[in-house]
Amino acid sequence: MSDLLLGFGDALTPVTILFVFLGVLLGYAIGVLPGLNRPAALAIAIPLSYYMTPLSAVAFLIGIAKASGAGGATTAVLINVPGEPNAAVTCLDGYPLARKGKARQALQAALYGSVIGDIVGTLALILLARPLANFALKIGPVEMTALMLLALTFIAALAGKSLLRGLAAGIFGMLVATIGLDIESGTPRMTFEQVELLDGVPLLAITVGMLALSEMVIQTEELFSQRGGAATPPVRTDASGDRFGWGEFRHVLPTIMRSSVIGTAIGIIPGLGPSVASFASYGFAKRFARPGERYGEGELKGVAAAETADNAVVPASFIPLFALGLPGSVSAAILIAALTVHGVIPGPRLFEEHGRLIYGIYGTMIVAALLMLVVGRVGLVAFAQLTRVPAAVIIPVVTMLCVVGAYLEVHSLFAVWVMIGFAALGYLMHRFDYSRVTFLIGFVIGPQFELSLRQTLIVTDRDPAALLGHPIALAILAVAALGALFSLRGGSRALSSGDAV
Amino acid sequence: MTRSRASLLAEMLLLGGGCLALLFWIIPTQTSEGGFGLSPAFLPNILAAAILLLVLADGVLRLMARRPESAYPAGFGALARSLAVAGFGAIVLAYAGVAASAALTPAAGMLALGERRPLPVLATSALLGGAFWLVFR
Repeated sequence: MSDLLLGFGDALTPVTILFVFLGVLLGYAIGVLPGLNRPAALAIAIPLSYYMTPLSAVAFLIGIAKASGAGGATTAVLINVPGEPNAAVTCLDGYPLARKGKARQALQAALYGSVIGDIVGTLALILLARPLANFALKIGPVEMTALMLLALTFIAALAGKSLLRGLAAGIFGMLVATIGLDIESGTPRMTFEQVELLDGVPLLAITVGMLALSEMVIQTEELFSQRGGAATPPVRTDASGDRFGWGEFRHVLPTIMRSSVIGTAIGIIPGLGPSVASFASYGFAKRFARPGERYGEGELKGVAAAETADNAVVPASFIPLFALGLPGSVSAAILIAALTVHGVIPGPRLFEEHGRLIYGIYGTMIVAALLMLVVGRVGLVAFAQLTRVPAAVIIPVVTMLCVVGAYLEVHSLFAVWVMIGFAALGYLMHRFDYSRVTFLIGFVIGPQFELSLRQTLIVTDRDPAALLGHPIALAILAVAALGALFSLRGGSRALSSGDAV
Repeated sequence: MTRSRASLLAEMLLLGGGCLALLFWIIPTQTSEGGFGLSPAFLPNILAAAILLLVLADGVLRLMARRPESAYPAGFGALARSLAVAGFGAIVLAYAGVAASAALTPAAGMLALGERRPLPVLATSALLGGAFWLVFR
């Protein structure tokens, strides 16, 4: 109880609120800027958080993660370009609404949906993470190994177009994580006699290279291919009669509540991400459409459904992270990098070892949701102006932030070259349909997987038959196998779209 | 535009060859016996073998399916330019420090992306260089 009160007290200090505010402001701006997405934004923001306290750093990053989703709706509505991949669904009804002179209504429906979805997801996190962590403390290494295999299979199946390539990417991430000192004997492993590699490949360099710099390469490619093409005409946000009042709010509220639940449920499952949540929520809204509601032609409920589910996913995806140490989404994987920089290792012991910090994080998540409402309401028109910043400015600035950010982690040029190398690898993986997200999650869970696997081999005395004494692990492995079979038959392909997690 | 079967085969051979190199050359030469417990090479070997199997299975399934796969439209120009700009930033960082890199990398990047108007290039460069100089001086 004291941790709870102290944690929430920490979250309400002026300094923490300031960092949440800065994160929300930056996240909103990044969400609006075309070409910058949530993972890239989080990756380049980690170095900015080096000099902060752990809570301030996480507060800052959570502000970015939440607000970038909400900001992504702005470009979707105003210029028919999703600022985030998952905002593509918002375009379906948002842009037609804007063309009808109801841009402000669409943006406010998106904002209120985002805030409510976010709060519902956060409440689910607060209610579920601790009991799940308590349960996780009771399970052994065999079950933990099976659980990690299940998570990796789900993520591999849903993050890309092919389960086999997804699994190969995730396992490659685990392989890269084995570089460094062997955890048992302490002897160097695949370090190529580089002293800098004894501690392993720097997580931040990989994160920034794979997600941010490689994304800039892809954006550069798109910039070159778009030159000479006709741009979608922007719409104005000052049309008369474009008000979002109580009537409109009541109209969309049932959709928002339903989408909050859908987004939260999808967020909890590792691998399913905001894109899946947005599409599923939009599909449900369309299925329950009343007569006269014309989805795809400018229906306010369509915008609310997509944006609500998108934002409910982020806090819900932290449930497996805080409870099990398993990153269920790319945002969660990046948060691991940030926490690790500050010496905090996520997992079931987090509540015992850093209870005050966790409750502080919960507090900052609620503060972030409220600040998102304020910033979104006040800055609605100002943020719309950011859609005019050209990609030829954004890409070089982000490239510089990647270089400087990788350097600042350990003040070593080695990390910068590693970052650049992984950016090239990330681009090639994107080009040949090997999921970068699955690679990163494999890299993050790699050390824990190795530890659990070694313990499993000791517990079972390397006898496969001993697994029969672990029915929970067998059940988890059966679910993983069934999921893999389902995915191989193509069942999940309709769900996967781009950077799903 | 669709990918040729030769391209798919080349991808499979390249990745498969990489896995074989890992299994028979890199992992054995880059790991030593730990002396007790599991060998340090145990997990890397298992993971490399798993990747090899997955790559081969994926390649065989794709070749057998005979479904046309769309080819990636662009060349490697964007990759070369982006990495050149990032590499330039790293070199400037090594010899002139963070503020110089913050000033010169965006300028180089804007020029590489075709921006030729001096005012936006110089303004971005001055703004970022100044901000980083204030923070890191």
